[in-house]
Amino acid sequence: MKFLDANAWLGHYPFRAAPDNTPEGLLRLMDRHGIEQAVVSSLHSVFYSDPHSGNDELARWVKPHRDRLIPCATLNPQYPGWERDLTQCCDEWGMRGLRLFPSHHRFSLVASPCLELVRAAAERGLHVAIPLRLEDRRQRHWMDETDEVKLAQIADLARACPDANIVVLESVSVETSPFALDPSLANARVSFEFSRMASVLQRSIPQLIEKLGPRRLLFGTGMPLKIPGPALLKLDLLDVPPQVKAQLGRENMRALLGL
Amino acid sequence: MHVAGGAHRFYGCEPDAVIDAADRLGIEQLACSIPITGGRRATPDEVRECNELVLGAMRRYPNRILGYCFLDPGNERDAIDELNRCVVREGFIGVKLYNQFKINDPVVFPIIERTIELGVPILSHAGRLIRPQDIAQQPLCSHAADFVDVGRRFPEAMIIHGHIAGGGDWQWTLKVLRDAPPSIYLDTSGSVMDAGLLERCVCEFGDERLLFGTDMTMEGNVARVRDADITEQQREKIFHGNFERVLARRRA
Repeated sequence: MKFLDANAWLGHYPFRAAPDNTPEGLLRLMDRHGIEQAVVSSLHSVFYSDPHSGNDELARWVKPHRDRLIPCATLNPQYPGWERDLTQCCDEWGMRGLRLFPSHHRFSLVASPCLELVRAAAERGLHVAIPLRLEDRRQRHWMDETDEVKLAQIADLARACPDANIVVLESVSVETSPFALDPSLANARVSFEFSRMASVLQRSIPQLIEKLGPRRLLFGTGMPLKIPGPALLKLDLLDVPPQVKAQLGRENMRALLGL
Repeated sequence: MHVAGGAHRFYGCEPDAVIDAADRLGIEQLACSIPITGGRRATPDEVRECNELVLGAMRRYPNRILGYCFLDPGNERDAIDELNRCVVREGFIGVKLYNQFKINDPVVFPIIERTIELGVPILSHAGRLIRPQDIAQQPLCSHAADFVDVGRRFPEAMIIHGHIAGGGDWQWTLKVLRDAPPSIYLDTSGSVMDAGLLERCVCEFGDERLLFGTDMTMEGNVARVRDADITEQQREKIFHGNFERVLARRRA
């Protein structure tokens, strides 16, 4: 079975050492775990004042590895010039998605600058990925003052931008969120990466497959910040037909990337 | 690991579900407890009710679900009586302490002394909490320095620092536990799946007193040890060998 990791990163994380954060290191990690491709964005972009500098670095890092590392832009809708930066990410560097960090970059997902950026990304066929967090809040560095993004905030974005394909990275508790409870969001174009969910015991992944259908769940690991084994094991343990595992493991993300 | 218990939380961890998950992951035995959480004291009746529910799970799955008896050390004589009832009469394998008192509070010492007599371990909730709101919720949560302190006072005890991957700043914890005496053990459980965590545990704390655990994060914690960049011998020790040595020290 082939895997496409919807949730991978390159670059340094400022608050903790993360081995294997170079393209070569990440590829080694992917080889060791049998992961063929990964969607990556720059961790530097989360912390630089101008995220686009990180996009520039990312484009150079992945250039020799485009068959396996699929770059995703990071932009801050409150920073000037994102329109031109988005164009460069798409047209010059071939980036296939956009990641947003409303907590780190301190913007509202439903304020007009963000809505404009999300609509512009959607018009270009880019999915918009939003991680709920990068770090467990209990162990945050003293300089890290970010809160976790709430699924309710993403639900508001989905209502405001129904044509955008939204990917929630580091998803958890989706089964008790508006996406499972609000009938108006039943067909929302929102997908959920499942590295923090469970196949056994709490069984949140099987419950979501039943509730939302298998097209809205995505395999992702959080490499190199997190270990990839848990997500692989969760997919392996799922009691679903092989074609459903293939959907979750690769095909759903491929469709969002337009591959 | 926890099992579900009536009003005492851990919903979804009904014994049948726990055993089903364990079967799918190849886990043979699970040491379980039902502590009173929420940063509050527990009455003797509540403690007994928790332990009765664990006992029910033990009886439903003999030799698969092992029991830690939860105690509130502030209940003093009642706590010792409950310890004797559970460990001596009902076959619990050790004691579970939560955050009612710090592990190095003198009120805990009679419990530690009794576990030394019986040759059974204490598993304690633990964490290096950082955010003021987290500390406010559990001001008496023990951290690594508390364990080092109590471990030096009681070199014959077996005290397990719970969930390195679910108790705040794990890097801080490992730095402090480098100086831990042999009476202190560490379990690998928790929901944090940071890269390099398990390898750092082996490097900083050693492989002799490191114990596999899940704390309800089942797949992640199996994969954490399964995939770690350590030797097969170390993996065997962490998965079961070290805890088997702990259980073999039982006298009663």
